[in-house]
Amino acid sequence: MQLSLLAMMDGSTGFTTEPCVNWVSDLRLQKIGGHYRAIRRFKTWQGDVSWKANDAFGIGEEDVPMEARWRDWCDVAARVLDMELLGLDLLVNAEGREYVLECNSSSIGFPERHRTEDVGHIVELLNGKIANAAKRLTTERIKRELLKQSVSLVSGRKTTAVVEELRALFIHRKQVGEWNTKILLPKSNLAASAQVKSALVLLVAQCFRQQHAPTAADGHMVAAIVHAALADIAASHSQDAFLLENTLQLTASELKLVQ
Amino acid sequence: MEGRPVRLLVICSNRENYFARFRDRKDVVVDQAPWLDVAGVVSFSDSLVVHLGPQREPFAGTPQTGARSFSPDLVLLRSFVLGAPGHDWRTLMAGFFHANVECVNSLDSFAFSVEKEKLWGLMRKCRDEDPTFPLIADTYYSGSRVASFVESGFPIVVKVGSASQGVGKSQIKDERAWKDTVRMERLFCSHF
Repeated sequence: MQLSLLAMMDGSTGFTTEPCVNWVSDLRLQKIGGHYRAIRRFKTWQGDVSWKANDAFGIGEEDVPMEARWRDWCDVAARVLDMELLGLDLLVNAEGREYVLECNSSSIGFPERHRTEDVGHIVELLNGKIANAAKRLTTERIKRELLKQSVSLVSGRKTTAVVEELRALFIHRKQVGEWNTKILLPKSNLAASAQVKSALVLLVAQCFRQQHAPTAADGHMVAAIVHAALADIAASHSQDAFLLENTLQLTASELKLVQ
Repeated sequence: MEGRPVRLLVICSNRENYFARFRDRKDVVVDQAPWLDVAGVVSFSDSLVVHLGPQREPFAGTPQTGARSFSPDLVLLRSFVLGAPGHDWRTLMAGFFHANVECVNSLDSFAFSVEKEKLWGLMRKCRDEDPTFPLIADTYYSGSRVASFVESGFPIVVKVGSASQGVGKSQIKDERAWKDTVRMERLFCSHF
């Protein structure tokens, strides 16, 4: 006991107490994404030393079926503690009463016999995350490219001049659908024209940010461009078109142009 | 348009091999190291760099054989951030927080996992949301000065240390042993 107490020397933390449970089962309930497992530890002899369930001596271990209530407790812990991978520790006394002692995070250890399978469950969980990360990376890359295009469109010109030119163009033509491929883009390829339109939306957005709060007329103009671009994109089914749509929606919602 | 592969960093000892798990994948690049081999973390305004030292017993044919830097998009934490004395990697973890890099488990869960009492508060929330959640009756004392009243009957268990891998727990069988323990704590705790 004194040895354990020496650990209190640090003094920078408080301490906790809990009733000492005279346990017959020590349960580890494990959840990895959608996979559950229950492991029970028990005393193999009734010596006084084994009041600690995590002692290595005099303790046996077996796999037991996952009870519905255990699964519910894992799920509520996963949600409240924001853990996709967890190990709940429970003690059970001779009367069958259960006590949750702690909840361990993704660093939980696996018994040797389950390690290969359980690491497989972690990889499954990671695969979903990897797919999301890949999508995020692509969106970011397209955004960067669009921004670069926008910059090249304004480079060497006064932004006010560009905005005025665009405004004149739209006001003159009334129909927003026409300006894109004919005037600003030599190719009429659908995805490419959508890209240039997106670039223009970003460009106009940048100009507005630099200059002033957009007026209602400015808002309508950009909203019209956004809608036209979205219509074009909707007609195309490529993945890039889908991501561009996301980018456009983001830009538009940032500027509060699309209700 | 083909993007670059997703970079996955696994903080884990070599008892698990994540290189092997992703060997045939073109869409993922993996690096794996225990906290001990993480030399440092730098989080710039828009990128995260983790400097890794060579592993003492590396997996053959992997980057573990040498020192390297890795810029992860995703981090899997398979090791304690704060455990027994000497196992405190909070300054490294702080870099992941600063970068807001995606982690498994979540960054939030690690924020309170290193503070047992915060974790406990959320366990109470579990009990509030699901009344069948059988949380043990745990008491917190900020120090020995306030440790006079024992909520439940003896015997009790006193626990000191972090949420994972506590640094010590003792069974206290009666009032006299409790007083001894509390005095012992007062003796050793310099700030009381």
